[in-house]
Amino acid sequence: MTFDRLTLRCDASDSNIVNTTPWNWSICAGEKICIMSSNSFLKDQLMAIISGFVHPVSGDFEAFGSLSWPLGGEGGLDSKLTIGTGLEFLSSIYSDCLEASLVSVDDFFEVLQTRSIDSNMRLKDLVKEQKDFFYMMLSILFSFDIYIVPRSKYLMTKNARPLRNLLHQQLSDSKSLVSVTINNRFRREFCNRGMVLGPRGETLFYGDLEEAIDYENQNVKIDSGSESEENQFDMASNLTNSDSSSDQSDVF
Amino acid sequence: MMFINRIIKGLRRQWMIIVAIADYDRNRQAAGSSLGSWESLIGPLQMMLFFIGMRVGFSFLRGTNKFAAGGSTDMYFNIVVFMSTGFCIAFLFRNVAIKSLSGLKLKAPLYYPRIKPLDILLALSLNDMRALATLSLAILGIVYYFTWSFRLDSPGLAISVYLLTVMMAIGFGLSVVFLGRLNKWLVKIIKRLIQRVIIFTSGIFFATFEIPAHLRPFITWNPILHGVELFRYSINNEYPIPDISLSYLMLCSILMLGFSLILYRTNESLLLEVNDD
Repeated sequence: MTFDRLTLRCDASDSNIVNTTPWNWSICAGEKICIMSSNSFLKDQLMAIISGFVHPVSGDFEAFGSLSWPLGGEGGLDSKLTIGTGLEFLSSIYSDCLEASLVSVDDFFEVLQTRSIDSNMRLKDLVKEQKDFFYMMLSILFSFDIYIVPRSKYLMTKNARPLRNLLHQQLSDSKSLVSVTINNRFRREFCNRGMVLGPRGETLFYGDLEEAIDYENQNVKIDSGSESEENQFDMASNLTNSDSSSDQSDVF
Repeated sequence: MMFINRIIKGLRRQWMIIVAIADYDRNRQAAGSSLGSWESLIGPLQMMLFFIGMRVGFSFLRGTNKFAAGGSTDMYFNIVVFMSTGFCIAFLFRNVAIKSLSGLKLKAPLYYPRIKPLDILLALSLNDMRALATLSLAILGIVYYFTWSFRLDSPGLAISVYLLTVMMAIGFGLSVVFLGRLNKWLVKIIKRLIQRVIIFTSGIFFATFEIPAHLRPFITWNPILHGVELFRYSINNEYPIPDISLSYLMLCSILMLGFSLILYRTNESLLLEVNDD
């Protein structure tokens, strides 16, 4: 994954404020990196650019290999569809990732059964906990070269322990991971590198994860909003299907 | 050789994505309708029957004449075949264009990085094409069964014209999809204008040879009319098609598709519509 002279927005209130120095760095295969910054908007922008939801202000971003959608993100599937239909759809789109997966479809349904979820249930009939569990499991079922983890709140809960085990199974040495989570447990369990960015996107530290966490604790001032930042990244709400019959009824 | 393999692999993957999105859309429509999977066929069918009924009804109201129920077109075609051929070409174009004009309504699949707005537009066009082609073939089959008069003089021309219309529809749809971001009243006006132009100048109700020669230029600018008339000609080669040309249809289709692909390539990000904030 490479960033080539990339500039992105750093301030939610002013679209003209971008990172001071364009980014020219890359993430190699096997690198599981956690990006740390006091600027949560910057981190969300980074996640949105990697996920393809927004374009950078300038420069290019390129991913080599298969790229996941935001891990556990509740988007993409229409709530009217059943679990089986949704899985069928994604299996066609990411057939190569499913073939390479170390988690089988049988395992997938077996794990879902533990939360009383079966393939004939419609997505809108799932309760909150079931939904979180299903979407996280769905992201873990496919084997990607690069995983994107904007938040890890649910994954690190007690209920999601089987999901963490499966994610470990999928994350072999050659796989990469990019995360902006503030959860230190997740960082220590799944990441091996850390990068600390300043509020305007300048690289303050890049190296070993533990050193990066220490650097962040000593030098980065966490603003009051960071407590709730785990809930902020939700681009899927902008990507919803709209049902309108006006096209058909409006014959003349 | 490696390069060709890569292209083939890429095209295969894109085709799989388009088919998957087409299924996704049909499934979600079926889930939200009491008609289930038949929803995608029933909608166009009722519209087609309405048009055929209207045309036949007007002819009967006009009274008996030497040209019978279908007017002078009845000399070459059964009126139901005449209408359904016009419908399947003109409404294919209309459905793709009007849907695109409302913007990208099926947005959720864009959440997955492999899916691009173009895939969604192509998948929706594929569904329209499937529905209208199925209906047309079914109606032709029923008419041929009852009249026992099967005729398809130039099948190659029929397929070519159909595919050229599909290309033109996709091209037009891609060009107007960006207009969906404009003011909704302006979009509504454009939409209604296009609907009327398509319905009344595409030869669904009439044949070009029935129009006086000095009035033909007012309708022959419309490439859909060329598609409709050439499609009818491919079924019956005796059907007269004055001022209708295949090269005009080809030129319009290729130019429209080429222009739209350039437009799409340079403005793809506008279709994502995700708010940066």
